[in-house]
Amino acid sequence: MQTFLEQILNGLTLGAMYACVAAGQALIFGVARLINFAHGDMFMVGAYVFFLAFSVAGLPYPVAVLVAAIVMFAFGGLFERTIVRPILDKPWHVHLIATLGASIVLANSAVLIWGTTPKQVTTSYAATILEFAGFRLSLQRVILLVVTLLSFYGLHLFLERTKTGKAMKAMSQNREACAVVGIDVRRISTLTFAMSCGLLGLAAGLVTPLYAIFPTMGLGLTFKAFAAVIMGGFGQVNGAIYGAFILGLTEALAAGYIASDYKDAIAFAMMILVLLLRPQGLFGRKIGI
Amino acid sequence: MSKEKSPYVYAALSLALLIALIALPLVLKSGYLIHILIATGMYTALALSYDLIVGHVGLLSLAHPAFFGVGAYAAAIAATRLGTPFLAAFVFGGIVAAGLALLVSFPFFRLAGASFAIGTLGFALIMQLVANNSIPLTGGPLCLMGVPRPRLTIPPLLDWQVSSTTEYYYLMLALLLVVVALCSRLTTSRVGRAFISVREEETLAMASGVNPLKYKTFAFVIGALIAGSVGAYYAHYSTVVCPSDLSNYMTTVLVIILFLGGVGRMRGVILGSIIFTFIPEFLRIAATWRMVIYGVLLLVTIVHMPEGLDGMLTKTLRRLPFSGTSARGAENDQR
Repeated sequence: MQTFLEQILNGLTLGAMYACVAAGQALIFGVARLINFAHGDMFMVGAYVFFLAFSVAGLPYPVAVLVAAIVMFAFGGLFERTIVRPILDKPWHVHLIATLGASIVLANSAVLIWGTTPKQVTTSYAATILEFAGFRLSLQRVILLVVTLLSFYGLHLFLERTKTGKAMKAMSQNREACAVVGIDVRRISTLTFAMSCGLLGLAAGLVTPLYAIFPTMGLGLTFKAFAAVIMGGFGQVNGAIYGAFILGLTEALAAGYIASDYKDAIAFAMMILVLLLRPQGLFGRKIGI
Repeated sequence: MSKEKSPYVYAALSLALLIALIALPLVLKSGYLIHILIATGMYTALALSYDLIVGHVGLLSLAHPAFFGVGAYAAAIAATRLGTPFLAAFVFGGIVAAGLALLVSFPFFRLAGASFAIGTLGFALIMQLVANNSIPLTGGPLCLMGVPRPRLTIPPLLDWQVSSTTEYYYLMLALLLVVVALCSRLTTSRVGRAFISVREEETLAMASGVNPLKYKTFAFVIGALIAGSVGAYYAHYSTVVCPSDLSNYMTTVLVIILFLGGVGRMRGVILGSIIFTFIPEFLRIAATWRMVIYGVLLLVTIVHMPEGLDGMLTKTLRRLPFSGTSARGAENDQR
């Protein structure tokens, strides 16, 4: 029972990390119809920004997380303006190849700057162990889960309540109609990328104290995010978040009870099965975020 | 390219190139350079087979390293465990890869566009994990070692023990020539035109009696057959097969070769393979810098030069005043 609960907790932590990457991925796919192969690498950039702010510049933890989120917000906007905008009207394979190019550039630039040795960031929160009913849990994990859930709730409110959020939802349903009724589709598209990357920066700040960071970590994350996005139904933010938690839990339980060597294989097999059997995703709508 | 050029000129050029390729190791004498040439040859063959799938039938598969790796492992396991002679192991590698491709083509061809790309990517990742973890069969991360050096025996005619780098080079050259001949025969025939029609407009292809599924499967399986054979050669050349040989790095390099050289253009693909495997190794550019440069090039080409280097070269050559056709003619020739 003890180990079962611990695996569940591991799964939730992992799921929270995947969810931040997958939610942004789904938002981008929903609004801009673009599959971003560089999304995991952007998470890696966020993690290094956090590393610089926290370990190198010595900022206090909450400030460093905020810095990572803000820098990544700007990075996302810039990425949309420079790399995405010229290809947005081109077919999907151009998107795939161009963002793959971006992913290669980001990962290898990071190798040039920081080297391949993984970096470990430690916070006092990671060392603080909370204990209740014989069950141990680091404060960092609690912070991670609480803050990601809050930010997902914030994202949900943003999409449902604000005018800009509603414009995003509208764009995910019909881009041309949005342009016709006077929605600035370019601004919304830039904002979508900025927000997705801001979310990555936030997640990087929360997750980095738990896992080591290295320049080539991005590709694996991109694939996991794909798996989550596909399970949730392409381009649905809520679906992608559920998908990410399912993926995290499955991985943790597979690692604990089946074989840790095959946990990734199980994740990808689930993705392929969903693609084949339920292409609209596990939760079913066809259009819209 | 040439209605004006006589076929004899073309044949003479090809022959000269072939002689140059045969003479190359005699001139070079550096084991390292010959090794790079072998690597270039392998990548050229792989890129040509990948282009059958990506460039000709228009399926952006990301599973190519899986077929290469499965071919390599199949040949290596046959050679080490069963003592299979080289030719048999080589054919076995190709056939296992092709069989696997046929098997996975049934589910994957139900996926369209981006889903196909991501599905095949998932498959490639799973295959690498399998290679890494099924230790009794593949040796896992410790690699499968001790693949014997190839000995080609066709009883009355030939008994050739390949051992020096130069001999490996000639074996590669022979394999590459077969692949080039196969691909050019395939793409310039009726089958090749059917491939293109499937890529351009499936419905229309169906209306003119071309069964898209059949041709897609054909290209996918032949591509895997070639990739598996190259894998089998690789296993016998390096004498070691590791799970990292199935990594996505290969997909990345192949995508770069294809899209920078010119998708669906044989000359472009060959040119791309030479530029992106031989030159960087020759200049000894650090791998990381190389990838940064490639990434940027990929971003620029896909946006501004969708027909790749070959497309650009063709246009430039035609614009030159002394080349038979005018620039206007060149515009008309584009598809």
